[in-house]
Amino acid sequence: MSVNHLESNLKLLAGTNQKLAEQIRQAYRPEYPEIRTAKDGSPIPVLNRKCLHSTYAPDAEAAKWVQSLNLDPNADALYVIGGIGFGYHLEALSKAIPPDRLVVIEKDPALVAAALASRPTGVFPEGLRFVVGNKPVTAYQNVAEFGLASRSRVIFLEHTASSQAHSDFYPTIKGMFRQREISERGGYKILLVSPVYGGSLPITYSVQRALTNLGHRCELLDNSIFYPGYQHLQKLSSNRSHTAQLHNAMQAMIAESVTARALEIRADLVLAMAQAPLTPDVLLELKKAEIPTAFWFVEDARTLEYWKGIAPLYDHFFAIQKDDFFEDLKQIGCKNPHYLPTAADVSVHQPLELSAQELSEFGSDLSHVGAGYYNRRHFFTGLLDYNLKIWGSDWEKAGALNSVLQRDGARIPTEDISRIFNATKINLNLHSSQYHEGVNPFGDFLNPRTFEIAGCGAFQLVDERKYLPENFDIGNEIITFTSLPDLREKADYYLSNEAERLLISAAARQRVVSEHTYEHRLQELLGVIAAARPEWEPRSGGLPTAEEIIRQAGEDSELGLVMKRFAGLGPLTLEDVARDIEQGNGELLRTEAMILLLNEFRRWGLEKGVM
Amino acid sequence: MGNILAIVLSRLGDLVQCYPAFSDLSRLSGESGVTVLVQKDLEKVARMHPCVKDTIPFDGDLLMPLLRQETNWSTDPLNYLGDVFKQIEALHPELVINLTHTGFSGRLCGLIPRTEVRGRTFYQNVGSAFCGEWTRYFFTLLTSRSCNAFNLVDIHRMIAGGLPGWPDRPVYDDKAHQFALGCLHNLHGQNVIALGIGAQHPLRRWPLERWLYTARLLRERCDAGLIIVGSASEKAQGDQIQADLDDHCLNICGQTDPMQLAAVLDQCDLFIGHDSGPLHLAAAMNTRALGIYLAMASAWETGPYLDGSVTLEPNLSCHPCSEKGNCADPICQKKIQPEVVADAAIRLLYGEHPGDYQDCVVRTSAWDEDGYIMLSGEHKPSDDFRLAWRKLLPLMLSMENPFWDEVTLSAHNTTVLPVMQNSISELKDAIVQLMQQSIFDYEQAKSAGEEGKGSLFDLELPGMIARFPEYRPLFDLYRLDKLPGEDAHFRATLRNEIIAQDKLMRRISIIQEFCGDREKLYFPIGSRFKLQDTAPLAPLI
Repeated sequence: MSVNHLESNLKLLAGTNQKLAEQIRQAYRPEYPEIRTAKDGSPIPVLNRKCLHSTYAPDAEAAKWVQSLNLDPNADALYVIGGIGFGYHLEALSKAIPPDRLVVIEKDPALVAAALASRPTGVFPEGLRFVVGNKPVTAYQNVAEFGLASRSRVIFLEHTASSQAHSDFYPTIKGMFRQREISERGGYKILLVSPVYGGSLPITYSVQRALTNLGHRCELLDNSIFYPGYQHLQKLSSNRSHTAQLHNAMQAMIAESVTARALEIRADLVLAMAQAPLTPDVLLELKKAEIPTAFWFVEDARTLEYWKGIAPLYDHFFAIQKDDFFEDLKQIGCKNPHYLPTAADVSVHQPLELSAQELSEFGSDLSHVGAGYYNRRHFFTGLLDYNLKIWGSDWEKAGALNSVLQRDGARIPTEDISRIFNATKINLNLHSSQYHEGVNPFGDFLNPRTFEIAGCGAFQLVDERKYLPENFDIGNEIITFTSLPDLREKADYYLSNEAERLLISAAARQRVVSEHTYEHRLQELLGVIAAARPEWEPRSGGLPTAEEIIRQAGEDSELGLVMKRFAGLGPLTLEDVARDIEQGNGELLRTEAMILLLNEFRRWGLEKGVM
Repeated sequence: MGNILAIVLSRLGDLVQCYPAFSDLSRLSGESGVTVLVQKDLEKVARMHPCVKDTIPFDGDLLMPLLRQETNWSTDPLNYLGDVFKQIEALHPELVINLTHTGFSGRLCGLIPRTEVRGRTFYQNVGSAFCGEWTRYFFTLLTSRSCNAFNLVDIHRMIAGGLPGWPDRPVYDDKAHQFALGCLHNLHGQNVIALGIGAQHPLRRWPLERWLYTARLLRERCDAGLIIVGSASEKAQGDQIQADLDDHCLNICGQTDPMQLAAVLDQCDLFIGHDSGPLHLAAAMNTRALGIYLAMASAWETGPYLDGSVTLEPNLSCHPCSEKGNCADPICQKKIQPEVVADAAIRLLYGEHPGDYQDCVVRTSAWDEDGYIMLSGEHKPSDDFRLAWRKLLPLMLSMENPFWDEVTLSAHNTTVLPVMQNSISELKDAIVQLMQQSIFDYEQAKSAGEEGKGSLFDLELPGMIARFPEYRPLFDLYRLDKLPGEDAHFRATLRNEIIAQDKLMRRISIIQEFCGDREKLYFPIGSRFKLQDTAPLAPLI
């Protein structure tokens, strides 16, 4: 391997992306990866005992690959290549497509360094852009920064050997581009199922907004309307068995409504949030109807164990924990669980201008928003000498903490939570535990609050968590504590160093905006599902826009005239147009009448189950 | 009378059950004749009726896949519908009869310009309307089933409002006739019996082993030659029966078009089967039918439309069950025994009345004095109310129909009168009390400019229905009376309510009079009891 190639290639790269060139230089390891020599003498990288190119003639293999793609060099498209290998395929591709239309994504920076070191300049032509990162969503975002929107099409080209080497990375990115393409055609019709109550309820609303923002057609089945009924049943009997039976009956009824609605709207996906009242029977019914199902378990698997009964029945299972939990899931037959942490809803969790009155009401030196779990009751008692406020429910019999408990322990509305985060100098984020008296030393997942406080551009001290470093740059974007003395020391420091506090919280907000919003999570979730289902198409096909219909029918045709008022509204279903006509007044045009007639026929088909 | 268009976008059995209405309409239209808008695959079935001058085919099977791919809803499906509609416009129908009852057919009726509609229709983009009192009655059947004693065929005839008379027999061509003769040629047996072992809903089907046993009994006891008719999906089951009976059985499931099926049924001495298309076609061909009516099927509603035909129903309080048809334990399938079916069939073949059978209700179709189908035979206690309503409803619906201007009380009615006599006054008092409050509400709302608001009356209605279940048709008619009528003049909700309440009170008065005179009642047409939308607000109390 010649190091001279690395320097000359890096020099070229630095001309367009100095930061990346430096990152690649840092990642370079002379012994990585194993390199074999092909029969024609070319160097071939080997990952996990698999060669990333042909061991006979990599150039010929690459030329054949490009030929098989049957690309149109004049198409106004951006070509995204998943996997750099040693660049033989890129070299061949750049002969067919101008390099400024090519973007290569690589998960492994050390492999990029090895490729630049092993291949002479010219293999990676000027204009070719690199995206290097180990998270699918970040890679996807970076491609977007290369003017993805300015091109009419994005064509993802899979380097198969790279995909096989990183099966959790490239297929997901491919799926993300696919969901983007579908969203431009009207999107998937997604039935989002909320719980009846609980912490995942506000997350559900954020998920709904995110899916809509991504261009999909999300219908929320908001089961919180059943909460008063649930509470009513709770009070009916002191016999726990009776109460459980009543709740089960209620759950079965709500679950059945999911099937009814999913079939009615011909959903492309049923996405259930944690605690959503779906039953195994209903999941089997949905499977029979060939409607994919996904579950996002945004809770601690060690505390709530109901996942054991349902996880294998979902087609796709997403969770905020991985490692041992994934092993447990696999043992019960849940084949492909996927790690997906919670996030911030930046339309809610954002920096706010607060009035003096709000600052007074919601502000303090230290505050905590959350339920009165065992560890928090113990831990926060050691902070009563600070200007501390505690907000949230389930703090009954809180003893000395009663003096700092706000609003008598009432539930705090989401918008007020954002105000509190914004008004507080140091937000305390201690993850809950039923067993420890302070920081849970085995804590892994991040609670939504971690992202929400950061999304508000507010400062937080958070207990150390296993998955924190992969989500935030500790020290620069977020500060952790391990114990009460540690927390007190850091609280004192940051209370007297406002500038540093502001710098860190601004960096945290930046990280959230670029990586940790619900839009990012849902892009990834849909990407994973699309990757696992290559044939996943919206049941409704690609919906036409008013502009397309007008073009097709002619501007002066009656249909053209009718559709003018729908211009700019994006893809339209027959139901969308018919509903609008139904709500109108006056004499119907003949075309309007025909649209209503056609929609009646469609409704009849749905009612009879023949659609 | 100009052209008449009948819309029948339903399945085989439903279409055949409209045949008598076609005959009535034909008498009304004279030379112009009746054109039928029909599912494309059933065009031949419509054309078999001698009064059908022409058909307009509608290909729902073509449209459905196009709609399933919503992508191109704006082009091909819209164009296809436009083409069908052009054919309707070219007909210039003076009268449109909608016998399909769906939102689609209703919307279609609403679009046809300058025409009178009978049946469900839509007024512009405002909403659904039910034209004609019998249409309104039809829509009450969803909830008032247990009070109904009219055959669906007769309800269709009354909705259509043609000139009543004997139904015409369908005709088939010589090819179909030859096909039927060919079928019979190799069939051994003295009496030819068609077996229709299929039905659309699985719960309506009698188990195969019972069919097998019945077939054996029929061969042994009356030297029957059996022809199994039905669709291709029933062929495998038919094969099992044929294998058992050898040359005494012929399985032609899936091998006939509707005309051939009609010809075969015409050659048979008897048809035995479920409530299905072949059963109704057999009756239309004047071939007596022995119906096995299980689950949701009810002889009162869809019994064979032929004098002397018989239905066997399980004697269960739950029969007929709800239209949902999701019974977990269909015991009705076990109630009717093969010996019973065989015995009833043999008696019918030899012109005798069926006997009394355990666990079984036997009903015989018979023309009443007005030329409509009535059921005779053993009645359940709950049938008393059906029979009372059979007499009462025509008075309450279409006072202008000369067929109903004179009503004679039958022996059946006298048994039910005491029940109604006891409760009708109670019902009247409760309604009056509610109406007074309702009128007060209306006046209040009117002075406050809030006429569109609902009233107390509707809130209390479910409680009334629970208290007086035997008067369910009254409440259902009231509910429908509030909807837009034929005049397309839409009124504020409360005003509609008051007018509907007025009709309700008039109907109660009719029942009171009915109960008061057991001998004979005569209602002068178009005077005292004529129902008018422009009725005064003050009810007749």
